[in-house]
Amino acid sequence: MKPILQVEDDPNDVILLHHALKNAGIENPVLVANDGREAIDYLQGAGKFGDRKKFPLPYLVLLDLKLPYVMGLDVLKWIRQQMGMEIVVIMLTASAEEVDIKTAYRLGANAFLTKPSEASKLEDMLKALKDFWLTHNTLPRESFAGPAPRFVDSRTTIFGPLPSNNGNGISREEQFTKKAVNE
Amino acid sequence: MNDTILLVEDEDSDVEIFMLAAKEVRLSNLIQVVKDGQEAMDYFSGIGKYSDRERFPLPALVLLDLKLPYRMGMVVLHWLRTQSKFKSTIVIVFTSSESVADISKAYEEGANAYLVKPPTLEGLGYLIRNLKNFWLNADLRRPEKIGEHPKISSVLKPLPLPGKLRGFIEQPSRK
Repeated sequence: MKPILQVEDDPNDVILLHHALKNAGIENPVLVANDGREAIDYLQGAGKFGDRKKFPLPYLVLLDLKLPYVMGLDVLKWIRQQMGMEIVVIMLTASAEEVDIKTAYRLGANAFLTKPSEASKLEDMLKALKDFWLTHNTLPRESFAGPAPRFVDSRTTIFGPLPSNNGNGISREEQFTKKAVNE
Repeated sequence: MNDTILLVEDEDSDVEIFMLAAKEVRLSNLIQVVKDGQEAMDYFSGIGKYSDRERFPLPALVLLDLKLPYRMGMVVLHWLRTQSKFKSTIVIVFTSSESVADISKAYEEGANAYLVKPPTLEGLGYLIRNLKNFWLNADLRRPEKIGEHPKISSVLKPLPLPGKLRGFIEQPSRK
């Protein structure tokens, strides 16, 4: 199963998405790049990412807009120029100006999503994402080639450990508390 | 929110099956059908009867068959992406072709997604439901519709959706 590459610098969002992906039943391994440069390094197989068996190309990139070093739209532009259309790129961002949305589609984003603030809604959004992109959508067959990664499971981030649930991280319990409060 | 879906499909039987499946899954969106590539371009350009945007609103989503009379689906897609107004319109190729060349070309020409027509009515219903759940709920940000909110025709009476099909995007209260 090809991985999903999440490009996100906010550790809280990484944790929230991680839980939501799992709760939405998405079983693909999820890798996290913490900034735009790391995402590009990974995708082009630079340096330590050179081994495609260990670091396979993702099926889907979930790309935030505001990122350190290289911004999301520049990562998108790079992907479309260098890698063509064989990777699904979905922008996933907290808020966006209309101009960003327009630019993203013009640069070849497959879709543009705004993150709901509630965990349960994020989960529903990811379920819909799964049911469309991982169920019905077709990519050129070549993009499915390559061995499935063995070493990564959905908890792994190759760019380092997932941010801790202590400190700034939001634990699952806290998410549910938040949800309960909101309801 | 009741966005128009434009189905570009020349086979009457495929249109019929699509409508049937859409009804099965209680899709309440207005579905407009055009039967060839030229007609699709006329629809977008607002030529002839298509100038009436209340009856023929610009679609939120286009389902585009590839094999079409007069102008092939790829030509329509290419044309749409050269029109600044339609560069970010959501276009989903919906075809029976599983050819890698077609799939690659469609994405290169700017398709947002590529769907192979399911062989069964049940499969199609499932696809339509999932398509709606993703594109017409999660992804409401369609820049080309700014300032062009078409009035929903008073003739159109959308069926209420069952709870599980209801979108997760918050909608303004109607109270």
